[in-house]
Amino acid sequence: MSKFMVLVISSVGALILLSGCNGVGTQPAPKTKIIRQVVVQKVSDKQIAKVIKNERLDQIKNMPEKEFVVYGQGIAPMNTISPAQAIALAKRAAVTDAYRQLGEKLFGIKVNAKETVKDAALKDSRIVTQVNGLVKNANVTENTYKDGLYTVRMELKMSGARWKEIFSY
Amino acid sequence: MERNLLLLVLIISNILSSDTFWFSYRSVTLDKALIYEEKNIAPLVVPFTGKVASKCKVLVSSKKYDSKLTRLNKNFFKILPCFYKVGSKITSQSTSTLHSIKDEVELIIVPTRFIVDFKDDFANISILMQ
Repeated sequence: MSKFMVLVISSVGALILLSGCNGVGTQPAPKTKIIRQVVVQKVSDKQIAKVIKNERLDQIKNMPEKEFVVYGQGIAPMNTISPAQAIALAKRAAVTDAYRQLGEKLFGIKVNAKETVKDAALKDSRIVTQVNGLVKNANVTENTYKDGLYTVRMELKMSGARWKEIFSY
Repeated sequence: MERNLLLLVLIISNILSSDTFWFSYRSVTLDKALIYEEKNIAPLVVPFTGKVASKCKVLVSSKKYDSKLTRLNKNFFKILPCFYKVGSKITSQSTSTLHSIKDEVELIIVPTRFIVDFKDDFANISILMQ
């Protein structure tokens, strides 16, 4: 009987010892399964274009208006039959020159240069500059004719957004 | 035969009395002096219903019994500034050497359709775009 009692007491004691502070402390955090998934979101080309457009518009919304001013010059040809004709032809030449200058400002100039040196001396030099472009909505704002030289003032205004759209290179 | 002749007359009269025309212009300057010009105003044969892009009012001087085409050709250089804005294509080449500079500029006004409405001493020009 005493042996049985000793066995019961010792087993209860061992149970208490092994259980420790299990019932007193904080509960351990429940284990959660982390599921990693790759989500593929399909975006159409139109949506991408819309986002890009909105981003660009945000950037250039507050850009100031661009204004280009050039002064074109023209002279009358030698074989005119009257002063009026000379002035008219000089004006057209001046307008053409003004458009050329606007083209230079807007589109830039292509330059080719070639120099020839012989015996340490410059023998020949040739510089060719070229401009190609289409100019729209330019206005002639002033005309003057003095001493055979016709001068026109030409200006081109465009919004900052338009400028960015066309010439941002 | 008579029917064909009548149709021909109708077509020609329709073309000549048309309000819609083509305009194009090309000029070349050398060393800032005009050396070449090419002017063209032609009636529009194929019907076109485009949007009116811009309007222009110019003073013209010509006889009232002239046809529209004749009046336009007589006043070509008065209506020319209306078309500079539409689209002027520029091609320029400047060559400078040790002894000389050659500066050549070509200006082309791209062919444009327009409607003209003649009044007593002025004309309203409506430039059409697609």
